[in-house]
Amino acid sequence: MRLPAHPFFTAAAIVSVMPARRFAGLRSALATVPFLFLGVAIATASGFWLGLALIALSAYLTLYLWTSFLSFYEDQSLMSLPATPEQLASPWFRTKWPRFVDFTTAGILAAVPDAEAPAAILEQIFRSRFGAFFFERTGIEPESWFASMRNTVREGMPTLPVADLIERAARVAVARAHRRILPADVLAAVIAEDPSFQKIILAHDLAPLDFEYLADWFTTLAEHRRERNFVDRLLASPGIGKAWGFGFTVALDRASSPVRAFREDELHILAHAKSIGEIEEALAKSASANAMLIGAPGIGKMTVVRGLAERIRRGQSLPALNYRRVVRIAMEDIVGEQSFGSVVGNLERIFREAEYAGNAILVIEDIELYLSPGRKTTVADALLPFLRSSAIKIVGLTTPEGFAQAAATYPVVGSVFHEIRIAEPDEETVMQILGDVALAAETKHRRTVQYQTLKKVYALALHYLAATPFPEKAVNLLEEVFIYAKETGSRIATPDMVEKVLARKFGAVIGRVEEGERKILVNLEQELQKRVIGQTEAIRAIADAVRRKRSGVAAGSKPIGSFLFLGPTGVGKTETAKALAYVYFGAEDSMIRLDMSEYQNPADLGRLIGSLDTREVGRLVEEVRAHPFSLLLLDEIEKAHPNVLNLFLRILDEGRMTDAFGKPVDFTNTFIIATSNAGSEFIREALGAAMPYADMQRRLVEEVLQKNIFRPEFVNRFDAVIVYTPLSREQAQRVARLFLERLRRRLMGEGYDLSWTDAVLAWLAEKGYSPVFGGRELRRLIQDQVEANIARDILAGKYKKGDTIPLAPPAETPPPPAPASAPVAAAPLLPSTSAPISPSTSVASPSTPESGSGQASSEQATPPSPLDISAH
Amino acid sequence: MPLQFFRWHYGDGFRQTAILSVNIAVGCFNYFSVLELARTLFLPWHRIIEGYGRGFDPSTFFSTLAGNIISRILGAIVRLVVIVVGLAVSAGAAFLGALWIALWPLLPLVIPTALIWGLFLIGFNVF
Repeated sequence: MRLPAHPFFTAAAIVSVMPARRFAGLRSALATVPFLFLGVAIATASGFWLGLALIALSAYLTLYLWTSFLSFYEDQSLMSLPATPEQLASPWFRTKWPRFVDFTTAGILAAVPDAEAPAAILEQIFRSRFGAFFFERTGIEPESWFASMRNTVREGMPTLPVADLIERAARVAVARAHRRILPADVLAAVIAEDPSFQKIILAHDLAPLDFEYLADWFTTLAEHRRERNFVDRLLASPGIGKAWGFGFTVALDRASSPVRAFREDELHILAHAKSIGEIEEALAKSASANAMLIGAPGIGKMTVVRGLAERIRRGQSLPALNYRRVVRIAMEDIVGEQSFGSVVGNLERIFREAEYAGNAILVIEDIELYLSPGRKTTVADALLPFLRSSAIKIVGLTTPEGFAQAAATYPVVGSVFHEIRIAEPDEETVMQILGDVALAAETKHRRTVQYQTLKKVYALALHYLAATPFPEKAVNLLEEVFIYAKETGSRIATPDMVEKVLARKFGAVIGRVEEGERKILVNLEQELQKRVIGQTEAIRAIADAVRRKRSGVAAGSKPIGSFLFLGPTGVGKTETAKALAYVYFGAEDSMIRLDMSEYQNPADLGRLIGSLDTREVGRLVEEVRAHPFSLLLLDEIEKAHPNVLNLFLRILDEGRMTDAFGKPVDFTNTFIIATSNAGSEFIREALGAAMPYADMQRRLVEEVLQKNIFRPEFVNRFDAVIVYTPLSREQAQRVARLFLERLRRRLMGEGYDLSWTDAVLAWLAEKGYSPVFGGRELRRLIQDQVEANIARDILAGKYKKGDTIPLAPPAETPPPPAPASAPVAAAPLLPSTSAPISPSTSVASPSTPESGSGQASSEQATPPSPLDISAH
Repeated sequence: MPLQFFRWHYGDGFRQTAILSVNIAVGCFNYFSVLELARTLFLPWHRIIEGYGRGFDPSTFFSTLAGNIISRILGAIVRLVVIVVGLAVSAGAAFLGALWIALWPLLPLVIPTALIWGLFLIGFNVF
């Protein structure tokens, strides 16, 4: 493409095919050679060596001039972009556009033959240094990428005059606050223009915004590679003698450490430029020049201080602050001293010394600990007088709640400190920081990281680590991913490792649906019905919600599923919850169970979400933070106070809440199930009247609303209101089988087996069926009549390990055990007077057909065991 | 391309060289804190100074005064040494910078001349 005649474009065109960096090593190596030869020439008084020195000098100077020329315009454009997009629409811009492209883009454009074909520009972008970086960091095969692009071109890519394309790219650049047009801006313009290219990037699992982040990362990498030359280092050096006019600080030096910034902090610091500016202004004042940095732990308060310290050290801050000492006082060590008197004495000595020295800026982390009432009050009294001194500057670091508490205790805190609140960085900044951190981590762990990994780190940290702010949570997660890559021996930290690290942390499946999980999800109804008898509608609604969430169809900012279970007692509400926790999270104990009848007063709210007054951490908050992948079961929800129910409105709606200390709690990975017996009578009546399920569901909701048991906005927040119907006799028999199967599993754990007949099940269903108490009555019956007797017989030594304990109904009293069978302990028959079933004599070895399965029926060949009818 | 190179050499390149040379001289001047030290030349060394206390005791007063004067003199000596060294280094840097600025426009001539002369000296008969 024909570009204006200017050294900028000439250098760009050369660099695009022959990077200047290639000559850097040779230039450095040649720098000393002329002087060496000159030295030899002088020592030997030889014209030959002088000649060599002159040749080496001419070679070095040629290389110096050449590389200086090629690298001079790097990361520059001839002009900065106008601040507003309106100026881009002028005819002037259309003629002057080459002046606004950056050096890399100029090289790309110079290499493109056809000015009308965006496809050619695109291809050249991906063949440039940026393209090489793109393929390296995304793991995309260049050949497959170019093949996709060629196919797109064949399908017909629109032509566009380059001035139009650059004008659009300039708009993107202005929107992104770039000062010149970068390759990523041109890419964004093409992507916006051409839907076929959008398909290519989507097919490679990328989004248009990714190119911006990749371009930022590319720039960061170039910045890290840039060697700081002698002049840069000289100008950034504080030099000597700047502190000679200020006092010595022996005690302060012992109790503090200087705050320094490192090269890897640079981007973090840039992310907090605004806060650093604010703190500089606050500290440069003549009186009460103290600053309080307020922000959640991990948000970057210390980074702000490091940025400030670095600017001060380099003399780039305000004149009143330049070349002062920024030191962090180890308050924890001072306060940890054994003698309290020495604590106060030490503190006073340190502060007095700092005051006298005149150039100290003291940084105190967690300052609220020393400004709060309690045993350290005297510490606060020692500290406060110095806050008014004009000769000392103090920077306090605290949390929002810590500051509120300190200001409430000591109102003076509000006037002597300038408040600076640190905001959580946005996605773009976090991605920039991650790119920066990744480069340092790559060197440290000797592993490389893909761009998709950084993206996944951001996305999953946002979603799963709600309690910690950015950037800390993302930086920590990335570090863990590198460690995981090291542990598994992988050279590359890949995106799936982020999911694995979190899965290991939370003990739950994270990320895409795997094949094994896919099967569970497809058959979820069957899985749940293995444990819950009947209640088909409830189970279907739950299974649908789970599938929606795991397939990514459901909104991400809500709990996985939220259900209000209404129905009489003992019909399987809690059992459904347990089954779901087991199937979805892999363990029944992945359930947080709250008895809401314990939260009937407004004051009980503190026990759920914490209390600032008592410093108590709420149970709900604590449990969900510790186990974010859980099922939250709210038993007897109708008994909770309305204020408590209001708390759940936001949780059900947004999937998150804020605790009493202002920290967020994430519920987007929890199921929330509230159970209530409200409307049980209505359900029975409706069933009696043979009302269809859907009608019953609708009428029941109307009923609970009419009776003011729940408010409409509360009921509407649930994904579904599920009505549980009372058990039928037939279902009671299936429930009995379920209970016996569980009992058998427990016994097998102890080394015994259990068998029963269909008659036993029928008998249990007959005696244990209760329309009022549902399965509970049946469980009670089994506990009282079966489990109790088995326990007694085992303790009495009737059964040995390996024996099968047979059950039979009263009418089927079996004969005594056959002597030929496996060793058994004979049990005496008890009079069949009152109560029903109990185990009696063990008759079969574990290998006998009827033992164990729970499938054994009265028709089976082996005779049933004697029935023990015990009177209790 | 050669035309664009020379355009850079006598335009942006020359400007950059001049700025760089000035920056080195200023950097040296700043590194040795010449201005700060001159401004605080007679301040006590690290603020080591004794208070005169309450009341007036001639012996205490004069011994304190002597100590404080010594602190100031010591401070002045050290500062003066650094100021002198700083000025010398800065002047040297400024001289070399000026030389480099003066040499820069001549480099397109200096380089071939050095090459030809060098070849001549090692025995090539270039003429």
